[in-house]
Amino acid sequence: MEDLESFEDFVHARANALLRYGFVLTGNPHDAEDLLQEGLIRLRRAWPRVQNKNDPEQYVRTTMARMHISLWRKLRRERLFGVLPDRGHTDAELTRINDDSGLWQALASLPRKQRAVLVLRYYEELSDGEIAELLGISRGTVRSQISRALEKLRATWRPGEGLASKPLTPQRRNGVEGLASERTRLEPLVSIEGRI
Amino acid sequence: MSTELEDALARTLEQAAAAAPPPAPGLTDQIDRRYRRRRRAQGVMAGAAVLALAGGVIGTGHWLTVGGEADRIQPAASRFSIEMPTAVSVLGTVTPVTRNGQQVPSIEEIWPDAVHTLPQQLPDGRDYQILGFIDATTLLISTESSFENTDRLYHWDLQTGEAVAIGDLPALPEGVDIDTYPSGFAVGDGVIVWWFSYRQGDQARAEIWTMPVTGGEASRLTTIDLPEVEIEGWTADMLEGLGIADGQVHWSLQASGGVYQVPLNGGEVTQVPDSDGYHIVAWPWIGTPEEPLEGWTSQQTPGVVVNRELRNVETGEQRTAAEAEQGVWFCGPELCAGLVDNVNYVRNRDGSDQQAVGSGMTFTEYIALDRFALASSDGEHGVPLLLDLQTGTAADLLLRWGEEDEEEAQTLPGVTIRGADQTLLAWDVEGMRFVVNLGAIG
Repeated sequence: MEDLESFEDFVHARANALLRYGFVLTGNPHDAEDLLQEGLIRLRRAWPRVQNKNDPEQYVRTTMARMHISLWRKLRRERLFGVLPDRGHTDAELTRINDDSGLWQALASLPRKQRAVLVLRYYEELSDGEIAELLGISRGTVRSQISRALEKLRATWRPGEGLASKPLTPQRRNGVEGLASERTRLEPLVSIEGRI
Repeated sequence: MSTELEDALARTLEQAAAAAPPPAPGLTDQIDRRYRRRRRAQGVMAGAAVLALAGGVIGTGHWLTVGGEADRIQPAASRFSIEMPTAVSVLGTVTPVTRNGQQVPSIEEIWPDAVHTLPQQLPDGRDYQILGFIDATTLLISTESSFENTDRLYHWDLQTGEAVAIGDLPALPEGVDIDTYPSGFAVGDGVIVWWFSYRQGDQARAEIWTMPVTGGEASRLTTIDLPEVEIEGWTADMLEGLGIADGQVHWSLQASGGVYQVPLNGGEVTQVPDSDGYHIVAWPWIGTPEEPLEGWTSQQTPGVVVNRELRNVETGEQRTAAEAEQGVWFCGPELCAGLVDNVNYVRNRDGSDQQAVGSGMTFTEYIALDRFALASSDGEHGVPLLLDLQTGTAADLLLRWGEEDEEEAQTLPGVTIRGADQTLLAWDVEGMRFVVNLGAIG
């Protein structure tokens, strides 16, 4: 029972920070919460081993980053050929952040891997080597992903403008209206993969 | 030294993070509940499956890096044996569901020879992926040495529970940026085929590899250059519909279209004549989905028909499906599946015999083997059923929405029909993995 108590202590102490990390990784609060929950379930399972290494936080952050990219790999086929109007959902969430510099919006147009690398570098402040190890890619790939991503951001960046500190309205899953709930209904929990 | 852009980006991320909403109340309870459910399911497994390691251990160990420290992954065994329980013995009895007011029997009752119950992990604790069927009762599976990196293929006899290694996949190339890990496994003409892709400098490439299904060395069949694509989340095109027929490996390009072939015994890659913009739908049928579907909805009028025009590359026969008044329709060689006003329908290509098969969360995009569709049971949150369109028979897949709260409902495992020949239906529930060979249903 002792390890369970400390797992709960960990969740109480770190859930807020981990959700913020999930939010900058995914760009919307719902995906962030899904990612957080999945990461914490895996941590719970691995708790005795991870606890011995004294770094449960790093374990969850690594898991969340990897899962986020992994999910992208799984969904990208459906994204092209599927009928999910999730673009509207994303836009609706993004408008809640009033970023005059255009950077927050521009981040949404990046491939997941590139966005993850940027978050690990500029939010988590990790080195090339740490990012490479965390995502299981080479240092060269980290460098090239960062430079490609920055190049894309530069194209729409409006220097001198900043992010207005307008707080997000707390949203619960059940309280999201419009396109978000439309997306939930259409989610292909049951689907036939591939194009026959 | 950081640039002004990098500083601005760091500020934007910091401020966006600060604006993120707090976690939903009851987070720890939810985690605990979901964790216990999964653990309970695994406990069922430990009792149900008799695990036996046999034969020698081949290959060297692999290292998986987690959180900066290396954990030893057990070397995979070259063969193992698993006793496979029935669904009823694992799940017990579940509350029956109805479709059109009629009680739906379980898939085990209707097609006992086609459904198999497997553990979610191998005896050594590794995860595995089901890639398809080699024959009616033999499964092709793979293990992974690290994240998405397939390292070994096995054939698994579902009648005896014996699995034997077929061979190891070669190491992925060094010094390149892997884009897609080994994917698209298909079996035909006594050979297993797959592909992976990477970027080397400015050029994106895909390699197609084969291995004899009876075991042996993997060999590279060909390397192709991939076009760059400008679609969210992509940097280069990908292969789709990889398969083997008549001594040739065929595929199409997901974003750019075009259908290609290369002889199994080596040789030049050729494009199927007049296949620009075409995609493999169900070999030898190819079609033109026309345009990306993003933004289309089930409310829209007029409707959209994907693969309205199909062509048989062997006979040259062309088929045109009926237009749709509303929604989005996906057509195969014989039937079309549609989503209109959030209700799923199935009908013939000419528009006749339209019937509703489900609604709500269920979404059937294609019809497997021009015969099987996923349908939903009655009620607002119907559970998935397998529907045989030839006979009208529906089978309960024994999946139930969690009753504890709405969050659980969202974790109902996905049911997918996959495999290059659309014969494989697989889903996970309660620590078990259910596998149906649609091709084995008489």
